[in-house]
Amino acid sequence: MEGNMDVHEKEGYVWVSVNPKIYPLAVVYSAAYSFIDDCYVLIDGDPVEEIIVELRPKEKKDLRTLGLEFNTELVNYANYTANYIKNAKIKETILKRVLLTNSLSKENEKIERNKTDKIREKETNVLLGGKDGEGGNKQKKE
Amino acid sequence: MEKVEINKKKNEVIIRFNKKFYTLPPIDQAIKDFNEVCDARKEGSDLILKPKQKETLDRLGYEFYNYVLGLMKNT
Repeated sequence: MEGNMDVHEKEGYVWVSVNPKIYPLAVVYSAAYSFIDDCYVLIDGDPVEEIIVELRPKEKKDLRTLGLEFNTELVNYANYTANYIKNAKIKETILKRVLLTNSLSKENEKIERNKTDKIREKETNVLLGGKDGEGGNKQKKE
Repeated sequence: MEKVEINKKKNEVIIRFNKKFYTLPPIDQAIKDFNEVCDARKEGSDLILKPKQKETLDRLGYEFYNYVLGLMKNT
């Protein structure tokens, strides 16, 4: 065994041992999934103690390199997940503020529109000949 | 015990899933999706696939494993 890898040259696969305390299962699945185009991926072991990922390349490939690439992908997805969690709260806060601002401006818009409508109504009534917006078809006294 | 055991005489492949990693719903879905490629039956905890085309026997079990992983990842 070399590091966390066990190369089975004759059988054509490599086992990569993953510590689930360092890499959550979701990260392992993501890393494994990214390999299914080029490899057959089989997951075994214990999700609490030790996860064993078996990688069988579909075409001839150096097994040690394959194992190392898998380790790199684990780090990649672990980093992505950590950043995602870190940024999720910030994104939530920003979104809340945007929605709150949007709903406040909609409220203000409504109030302004109502004011404008009332003013227009009064003006229209005045134009139509009513005093102080009484409206109607009152004829002017000569 | 082998996770994928090929029986060329019977033209069958036996697949063993570790239930701690592979759940039943994606496996059942994969069985349905592979219906045109193979016949499937369960014997205890083993899943036995019989390909409809002999040439696919060597790859069938592994392709099935990958397919189940894909289903699990996407659900």
